[in-house]
Order: sequence, then structure tokens, then C-alpha cells
Amino acid sequence: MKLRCSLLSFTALAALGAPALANCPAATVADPMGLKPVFPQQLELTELQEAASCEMAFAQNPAIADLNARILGNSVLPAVADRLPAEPLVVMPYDTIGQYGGIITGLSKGTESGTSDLLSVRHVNFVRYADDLQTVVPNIAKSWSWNGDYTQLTISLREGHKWSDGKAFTAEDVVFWMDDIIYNADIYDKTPDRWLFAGEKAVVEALDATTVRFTFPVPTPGILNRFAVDYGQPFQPKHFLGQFMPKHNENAEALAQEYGFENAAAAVDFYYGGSDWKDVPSPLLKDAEKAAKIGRAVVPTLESHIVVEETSEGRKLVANPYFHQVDTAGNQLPYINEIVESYVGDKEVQNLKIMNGEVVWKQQAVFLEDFPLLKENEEKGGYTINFAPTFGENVFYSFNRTHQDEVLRQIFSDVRFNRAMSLAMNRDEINEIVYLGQGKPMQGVPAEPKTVSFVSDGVLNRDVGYDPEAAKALLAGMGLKDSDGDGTLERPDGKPLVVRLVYSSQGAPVKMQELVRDYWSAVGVRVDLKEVTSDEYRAAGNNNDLDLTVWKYDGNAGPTISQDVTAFVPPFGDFFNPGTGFGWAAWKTSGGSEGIEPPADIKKLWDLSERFIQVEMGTDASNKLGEEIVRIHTDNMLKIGTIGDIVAPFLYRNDLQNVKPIKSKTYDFYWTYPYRPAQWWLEQ
Amino acid sequence: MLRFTLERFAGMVVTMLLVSVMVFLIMEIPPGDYADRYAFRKYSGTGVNVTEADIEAIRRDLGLDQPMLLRYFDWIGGIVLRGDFGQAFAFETSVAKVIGDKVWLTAGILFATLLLTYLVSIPVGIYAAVRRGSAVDYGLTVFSYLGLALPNFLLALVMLYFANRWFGADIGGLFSDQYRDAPWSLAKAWDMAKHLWLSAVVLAWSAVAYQIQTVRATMSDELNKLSVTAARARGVPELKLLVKYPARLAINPVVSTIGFDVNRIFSELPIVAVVLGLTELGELLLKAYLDLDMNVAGAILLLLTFAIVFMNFLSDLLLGWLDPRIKLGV
Amino acid sequence: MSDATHLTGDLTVAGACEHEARLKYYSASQWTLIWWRFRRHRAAMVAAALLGVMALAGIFAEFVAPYGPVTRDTQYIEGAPQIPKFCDAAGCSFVPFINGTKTERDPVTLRAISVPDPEVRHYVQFYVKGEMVKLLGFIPIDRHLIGLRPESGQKIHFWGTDDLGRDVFSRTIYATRTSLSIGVLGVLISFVLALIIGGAAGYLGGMTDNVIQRATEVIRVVPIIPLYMGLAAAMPKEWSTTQVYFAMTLILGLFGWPTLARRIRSQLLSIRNEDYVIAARLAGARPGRIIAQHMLPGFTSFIIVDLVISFPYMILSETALSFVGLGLRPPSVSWGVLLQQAQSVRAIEQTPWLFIPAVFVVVAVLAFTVIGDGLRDAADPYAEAS
Repeated sequence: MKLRCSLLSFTALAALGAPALANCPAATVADPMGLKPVFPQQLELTELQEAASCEMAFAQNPAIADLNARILGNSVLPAVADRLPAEPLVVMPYDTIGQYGGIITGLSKGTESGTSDLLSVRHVNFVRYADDLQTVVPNIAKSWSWNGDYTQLTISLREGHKWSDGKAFTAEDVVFWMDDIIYNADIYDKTPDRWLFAGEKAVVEALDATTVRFTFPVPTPGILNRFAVDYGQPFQPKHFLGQFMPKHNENAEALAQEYGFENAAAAVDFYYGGSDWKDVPSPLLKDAEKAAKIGRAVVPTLESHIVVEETSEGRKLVANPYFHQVDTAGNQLPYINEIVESYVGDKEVQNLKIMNGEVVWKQQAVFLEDFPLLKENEEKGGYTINFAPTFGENVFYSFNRTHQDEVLRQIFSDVRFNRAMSLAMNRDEINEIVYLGQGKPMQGVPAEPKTVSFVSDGVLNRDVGYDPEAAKALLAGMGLKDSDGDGTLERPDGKPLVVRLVYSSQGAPVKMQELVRDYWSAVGVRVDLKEVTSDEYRAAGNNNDLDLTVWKYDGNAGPTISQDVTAFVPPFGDFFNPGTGFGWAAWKTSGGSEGIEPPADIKKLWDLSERFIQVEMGTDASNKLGEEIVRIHTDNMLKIGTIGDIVAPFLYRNDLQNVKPIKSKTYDFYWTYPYRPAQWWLEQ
Repeated sequence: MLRFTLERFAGMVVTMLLVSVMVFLIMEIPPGDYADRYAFRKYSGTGVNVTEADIEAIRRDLGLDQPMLLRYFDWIGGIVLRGDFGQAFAFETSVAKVIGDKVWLTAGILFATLLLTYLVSIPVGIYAAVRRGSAVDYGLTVFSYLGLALPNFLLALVMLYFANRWFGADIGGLFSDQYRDAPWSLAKAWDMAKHLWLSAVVLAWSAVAYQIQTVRATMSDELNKLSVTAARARGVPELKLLVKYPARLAINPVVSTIGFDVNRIFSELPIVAVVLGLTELGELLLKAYLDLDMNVAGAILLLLTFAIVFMNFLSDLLLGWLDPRIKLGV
Repeated sequence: MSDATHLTGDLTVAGACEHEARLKYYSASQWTLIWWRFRRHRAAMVAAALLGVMALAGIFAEFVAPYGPVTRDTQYIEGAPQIPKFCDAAGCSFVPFINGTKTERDPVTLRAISVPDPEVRHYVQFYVKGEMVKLLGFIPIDRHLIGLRPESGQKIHFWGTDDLGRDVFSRTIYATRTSLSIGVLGVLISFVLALIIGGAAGYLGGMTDNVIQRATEVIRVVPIIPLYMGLAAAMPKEWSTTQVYFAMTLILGLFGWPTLARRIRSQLLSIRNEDYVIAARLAGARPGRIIAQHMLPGFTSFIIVDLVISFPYMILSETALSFVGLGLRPPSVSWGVLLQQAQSVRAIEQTPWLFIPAVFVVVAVLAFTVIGDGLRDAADPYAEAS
């Protein structure tokens, strides 16, 4: 193996002419050969060459020309050294220098459903979390710097970095993304809140071709975390999308009409798809003929693989011949030729495919309940399935304190009621039945305890013991009585206290709902269960139609809350992860003219959260604010938590090399992104 | 004959028109419309708060705010005049594009299933009739009743599981990876056959069960006819005798119900497709219902029903030609 | 034909007793005759008995099922069926018993495994004291047909338990009630519709008939399950399980009528010009009365056969709709819901007893079909006379 690779670099060297210096050491994480990189597991080219006083020669995938031929509109490839940036990112493989070739076969549920695991395999951004989930390391950005008060972030890009079509990638592409896409009213008729800072826009400037500066109206130290964990990529090819914008091309309208678009905006939408998500229906799916006529299948990318085929059955991607990373032996990454993503909506078909060894990598949507089955078939299927800790998987129950029914609103707003419901739950049994005994009873907190330092054990253990008698006492203390002896308490207006627990299997385990219904019924609160699809659930939640929300936290890990306060303030969630208190949120957004005025405690959350994201995570000031926010959440028991510290399975086929057990299975660090899938390779 | 043809043709057109009204009504019933879903899709993850006004605007954009009658004529007009089935909201493209080649795959599945049904049920039905009362006949009856009684989604998963675990059969889809996008060739057809058989078996079982009973009953009647006894008396060999007289007649009712069989098979297709991981029209229909993507659902229902009505029309003509009594309405 | 020779053979040896039997035969009413003939159809009788048992079990589910449909036994999760026995290593007993078990978890695969404890015996008892339930919804009882002696502190699961430790046997019994009743209600609704629509078409004829025929044709050509799915998708999401249940029966009934309506129509058409019908009409009877009193009785038996035969389609449609998530959903318990829960590779490999409800579906569908066949033969007036 090693022999072959050194041979490879040797021939490449020969082609480049006689080197003045020695070959660079083919260091790996397992054997760093004395290298001590500034950032874990990766180096900049100069850093490596200086440290080892060597000169790196580059080699490429022997199949790269064929792969390139499948990218619509790409012309003949220049030499590999000319395709890489002047300073490529040098990645230390975990165990071995890889071999080129192979296909990552993966499963998603549909075009835009369950895709982010595979999206994260090819994902790039300015920066990345290293696999320790602690350190932010360079990726597209070579380096970055802050001004003193965290209002200006300057990012240095790589000279000579190229889009997948071979055109130069510069600071202008970052400015273009912010000004002409995100802040463009033709594309977003309302500017997305997440790109407004204290309600104002940021200013993005290209200082030169490789330097871009973000100026924020308020301190935003957490924004770098967003560039490390976010699904969105803060750059778009100006040379390509700009041709359809009258601002950048005076013939844009004519060009668009020539291609058969109604107008230029339609042409932009055809390629951009109205969202930073990379799984929006591509031109290939929308109208492949039109895309062929224009001569570009998809927007050029900086990712490791680029989409070349898309149908309603799946996508195919090939290696990006201009990808900016090399291994320590100078081989351009990625090693793996193709990604084939098939859509499988049915979990059982998915299980069978996994058991057959048809899936190279999967973590999203592999469930604990299927673990015994998949583990038993591990050997037969030639794959490995293991656990990883999860973040934000604690399922919560949150009663609707802005309920349209005044009586219920009154009851739900009483902390005693929420405490009673918490005490009535037998969490040990839930843990055993739902989580195969692998979790820990835990109260709900808006910040994932493992990723922050301001959540105490006392908070996590409050009211998590199983004590139905205490629960009954609390309810009795509220004056709720069962006068007719039917086992169900009566509300103050005489009606039975019935709660409609609507749930969706995507947000919370089905089994848990059946258990919770029994627990609450046992203390006199009757529960009607109803399962709906996740879309229906989200719509109902966002319409304030639910008695209570049951969902998992999600999006509450450190890097997320450092730059996004969604989890802290009403409605304590977003469209994807419904929260509660929609009436309070409406009160706030309407400036008090609509909705329901929240109590003083809750009102403080907006201010506290605003301050929280303006200070650096982990500092005393940050921890103090965080502690106060958590205190308000838990004192009011806004969300009743169930089981925390949950583990969840992930799996990979045994021929996949350079793959390490993941530190955490979570969307919060964007699934596979921290684990460097570009250096994976497949044993042939 | 001409008059008969014209009459039947007029009948077909009226039926199609009524079917289109009904399909449109089905598209209309679900509460809410795609505008809600679209709004959330469009803004999801962007941190934008969606208001009722936004949804209203989308509704206008999608033309969902027009009165029902207008939308019906718009819809059916587009289909009849321009072959335009409207917009598939969930796919952000036209329905025709979404349905496109799936029409042929679906037709392939239906055809394979029909073929299997007839290839099995006719000889087996005849055999059962000849061996009436024997253990074989009894066994076949139980077997075919099982086909009627087993919920086919259950059958689908269990068969999929065993086919996969025991024979290593490929699961999901109609083609292996290397053939999915390849042009049609003999190898590709063989590849498709390898994938099709499981779905065809699952789908065909109940149809086979039904047709075995029909063939067996008709055949039994025919076997008792004097012509058979006479031929047997003349010393005609048994096999030739069966083929020449009763078997030919026993097939008649089977052939005349092809439209009905297609209807039945497609009826079960969505459910079986979900389990088998097939991506054809049945599965798409189910997804469209769940997503409220009613243009897609409507187009599929309409296409299929038209096909059935048309097949009925053809079989009417065929029967009228074969048997002049039918033409006269006697 | 062979029957005829058989009869004449009987005649030659007819005694006085035989004669009386024959007299009874000739003076018997139509229904009695049908019943007599049906009784001789052995398969149909077995089927009817099976269905009868199912129906009874369903009606008295609270008594027959040892536990409630959602009662959990956390001591025995995903447990295998427990067969009572008379003997174990420690000897034999007159009262059947099961050994104690406890659930453990495989440390590697985390699979729940029940480990038997041969030291402990739990004895089975009939008419045992157990959960307090309301029989037929209003009679409170705490006795159940069968179970373990209360002092054992354990539960018995004849057909094992599911992943929440719920008793598969009890759930199947409760599901039987739901699914059979959906079938009954659905068939009733389609029967009433068929009667009205087919009756109008057949009795009035002409233009009305033409229009109705056309409409029937439209409904017949649309594949039925996709049609159901469309309607089921339209059910408001906020409906409670009871509302969904009735909506389901309504949907199933609403489109089940065409076959029967055609049958009624053609029968009516063929007799509407019979003398006795014309006589009734001339006497001034109203159409509804003429149809109900004079025309229908002539072919009631056919209608019954058709009704029986349409049951299986109702039942299978219910399972199919529940399966794709457009029908009943948990916590409702129906055959469809139970089968949906069994619909996993995990169930096939690790808890195959979850498929037991499928046996019920198969048996019910088969039974209805066989009874239909039997009834058809029994109701055929020519079956014997020829």
C-alpha cells in the first residue's frame, strides 16, 4: 500500500522536474512522523514544507479525467497542480494514505428528506470543528481574525482556489452570496432572521481577491461557530449566477429569455432553488433538458463531490477535480470517486439494505430500536454498527402556556402542574423500554449539558424521580379534584381535564407517548393520543393548535446557541423543531399588539439572549448569562425533559478505511463534517 | 358495426368526463392546500416567520385562490388541449416531468403481473377442473383462497425478506445501479425481469387466486357439455380434446376482464410499492396524497382510469365483433 | 344429477317416518330450506362456527381478553408466547402452569431476552380475578375468562408480547371487535345505498336507470384503494380516534355499493313487468312499498350472499388503509394497526408472534368467502330439485 503511494508521488515528481528538496513525510494521525500541526490533524502547505523541509509534489486520481467528463460543461482538465490552490489544505489521514476509487453508497428518504447526513459527507465551509468537537479549524478559509470587540471578522481565502468548473473562487463570491442572494429581495422577500444581527444587516466587503471582511452591527463572537456547523455555505459563484442578474450583466434578461426563462430571476431560482440547503431540487430534476441547453447541470461548488445526475430515485455525484485538499503524500482528495445516494422511504427496506452490506455509511435515521437487529446481522452484512453519544435528543413535553382555551392556559401556566406531570413520569421505565436502558433520566434544559459549563447537576435532576403521590398532591394543591370519581380530574369549569397529545414519530418515539399517556392518566389527567406526519405536526405547532408539544431539543449544543438564540426565546424552537409559547412570540414580533403578554420572567429572556450571543462562549460573563437563562427555563419548567445522555447507532461498511468512531451523532455539528470524509477510502 | 362503435365511443367519452369530475373532486376534498406546505418549505430553516399574508400570496402565485369551477376547466382544459397536467408542487416542476418515464415502468409492472396471472391461472385452473375433487384440486383451492385473504403488504415484506435473505435478491427499485440509466438493451431487460418478479408475484397472487376460480368453474361447466363427451367417444386424445373444446371457451371470461384485473392490480400497487421500495406511479400517488400534492395525485388517477375505460371500450368492441348478439343488445 | 338418483333411491325404501320427513321438507319455508341445505355444507358450517367464535370474542372482548389492549407488562417485553404446561423438571401438576420469567438484555446486541426461572410456577385459572373493565362498555366486571392466579403477581401471554410488553392475545381480541364491526357497518352502509340506488334504477328504468348506470360505471373504473386513500387523506387531522373510526366505515361503505346495486337493478328489471308487480302498482301501492313488499323477497337470498362476499373486501381495505397510515392509527387497535406494528424486519427475525393477528385476518376472510359459497349453493332453488 505505502509502496504504491510513494511510487505514485515519485512519478508525479518526475513529471514536475527534479525537486530541490526531499519528499514530504506521508504522516498520518496514527503515525505523525514527528509533525506537530498548529491545528489538529491538518496543516497548511507552507507549514508542512517548513516543518519537514520538504517540497510537496501533487498526484491525482487516475480516473479524474473520466469523472470530469461527467460534469456537464467542464472542459479538459489542467494539471493537478494547476487545479489546486497555491496553498492547498494538507490533511493527515487517520491511518493510511488511501487508494483512489470506489463508491460511497448511501440512503436518504427523499429529495429533501433525511439527506443531511450525506450532504455533510461532501460539505465544506469556511471552517470546521475538528473531530474533538472543541477546536475550530480552517477549511475553505486559510485563516481568520477578529477585531477587539467581535464586530469585525476578517477571513483569508486560498489563493488560486477554484470552483468545480475551474473558474477562480475569490472574496467577491462571498460578498455576492450575502448581498445578491441573502439580502436580495427578489430571492428572499423577507431577509432571513438568522442573517440579521440585532435586526440589522451585516456588511461584507472584499478587501482583495483573497480577503473578505464581515462587519456586524453588534458583537457576534459566535458567528464563526455558525460557519463551522451550518448547512449553508457562505459563498456562491458570482461568475455563474451573476450572469443572470441585471446588476452584474446588462444582458441578463435577454440571456435568461434565450434559455427559455420567464425572466432573469427565474433563471437564478432555477439554479439556486431559493435556499442555502444543498438538497433543493436541482436543475437536473426540474428540467434536465433546459440545464443541458444552458450547459450547466448544477451550480459550481467547492464541495468534495458534485452532483452529476438527479432523478426522483436518487442522486449521483463525482469527485470535484478542483477540490482544495490533499493528503500528506500530495494526493488530491477526495479518494473516493463517487457518491451514489438512493432514496428509500421505507425503514424496513433500509434495514434490509444495510443488512445486505449495501450501505457504506449511515448515521442519520438509524434508530436504537433497530440496533439489536442490525448488530446481530453485522457479520453477515460485512459492516460495523456502534453507538455514539447524541446531543439534543432529550425528548421534552411542553404545555402550551398561550393556549387558546383560557382554562387550559391557566392550568398549564401553573408551575405546580408542570412539576406534577414531570413527577408522574416513570423515566427509568421509559429508559428501559424506549432507549434499551442506555440513557439517563434528565430534566430539560435549553443548552446541551455536555457542551456548556453553566448547567448544574441539580438542575438536571430536578423533579425527575418517579413519584405519582407527590404529583397527585401538587395537583390537589392547585384545587383540581375528581368529584365524580371517574378517575379524571375536573377543570375549574367542570369539564374533565383532557389533554390531546398529538405527536409525530420524527420528533419523538411513538412508544414513549403510549407510556406517558398511562403515567398521566394514572394521576388523573386523561390523555388522548394522536399520531400525525411531521409536516402536519409542524403546521399544527406553528399555528398554536397543540395542547402540548412533544419533540426533541435539537439545536441546543454549544456551537449553535453561541450564535442562534432560537432555543432560548419564545417560541423556543423553529419550524423544523416546534417549540411552545407562540402567543408570547406573536406578542413580541407584533410589538405587543397581538398575542399574549408573557410574564416578566419570560420577557427577560429576550434581553438575556441578545446579550448572551454578544459575549464569547465559555467566558464568565457568558456562563452567568447562560445560567440565568437556564434558571428561568427550569424554574418555569417550560419544557419537561425525559431521558438525556442518549446514545444512537451509526454504521459503516467494513471496507471503508480511515473511518473512526464518531464522538457524537448529532446534527448540531453537522453530522459527518467533523470526521473528514474526504480522506475516507474504500478497499478494492 | 360503425354505429355500435360510435355509440360505445360516445359512452367512453361521457364516462371519461365524469371520471375527470370525480378525480377533481377528490383532489379538492383534503382540507388545506399546498400553499401552507410550500410556505414552510420555502422559509424553513431561514428563520423567517411565516404569516397568513405570505401564505395568501403563495396561494395566489400557485393559482389556488381561483373558484373551483374555473380551476376544473383550467385543469382539464390544460390536459386535453395541451397535455399539460399542471405543476407538481413538491418537485417544483411539471407533473408530466415527474410522471414521465414512471408511466412505462408502471405499465411494465402491470403487464408483467398480468402475464404472470394468466400464465399461472389458466393452466392451473384447467388442471384443477380436470382433477376436480382430488387432493391437488383441494390444495390449489386453499392456496388460491390464501392469495385472496393475505393482506398483500404483509406478503410483500415477508417475501421480500426471504427472497433477500435466502436468494440474495436485490431489493428496492427496478434496476441495478449499472442499468438504471443505461439505454434499453437485452441485458437491461433481463435486469429488470430479475427485479420485477418479486413485485409481480406479490401483486399477482390474489389475481391468480381469483382467476383460477373463474377458469376452474367455467372449465367444469364446459367439461360436462355433450360436445366433450362426444369427442371423447370419438377417441380424440385427452390433451387435444381439452385444448380444442372446453379450454378455449374457459379462457373467454378471463380475457374479457382484463380491464378489471388492471384495476385490481393497480389498486394494490401503492401499498406493495411502499414495502418493496419501488418508485413507480402507485408509490408516487401515495406520496402525493400525503404531501397534498394534488396535481400529481389527480394526474395519476386520471391517466390510469382513462386507460381502464379505454381498455373496456376496446374489449367491448372486440366482444361485439366476436359475438354479434352483444352488438344488438340482445 | 347424482342427487336426483339418490332421492328416487330413497323413495323406494321410504317408510312412514321417511314420509313424514319428506312432508316436512315440502312444507318448509324458503329460509328453513336454505338453512337445511347450508347445514350440509360442512366447510361453510366450520367457517360459520369460527366466525361466530370470533364475533363473540370480539363482543365480549373485555371478558375474553385477560388484559386490556394497552396494559403493559414491563416484566415481559418482546416476550415469546407462553404455553401452559402440566410438567416441568420438578414434576407434574393437575393445574396447568407456566414458569416464571424475567427480561434481561444481551450486553452486546441490547436485545431483550426472557430468561425462564424454572424454580417458580404460576398456575393458570379460569374465571380469574383481574383488571376492572366495563363489559360491552357499561357492565363493570373484574373477572376474566382465563389468566394466572392473582396471587402470582405475574401475567400470562399466550401469544407473547410486543415491544411495550402489551399482550398480543388481548390486543388481537380487541382488534377483532374493531375490524369486524367496521366490516359490518361498512357493509350495512353500502347495502342501504345499493338498495336505494339499485332500487331506483331497476324500478324506474329508462332515463334514471341510464344516469345511474353511468355513475356506477364511473365508480367501478376507479381503482378502489387509491380512491379510499384520497378520501382518507381528506380526513381532518384533529379528528379523534372515534371520529376516524366512523369516517372509515363511511368511506368503505360509500364505495362498496356498485356491485350490489347492479345486482338489485338487474333483478328488479327482470321482474318489474311480472303480473303481480303490475297488479300491485294498479292497486295504487307506492313504489317503495312495491319494491320492499313484493319485489325484494324474491331475491333476498342473493342479496345476502353478495353482502357476505363483500365483507372480506371491507376488512382487507381497512387493514390496507391503516397500514399506509391513512386509516386507524394507534392507540386504536384493529387488525390493520396490529399488522402495521408487525410490519418490520425486526418482527420477522425477533418477534414473529406479532404476526398472529394475520391469521385472524386470513381466517375471517376465508370464512366469509366459504360461507358465501355455502350460502350461494344453499340459496340456489335448483340445486336440489333438479
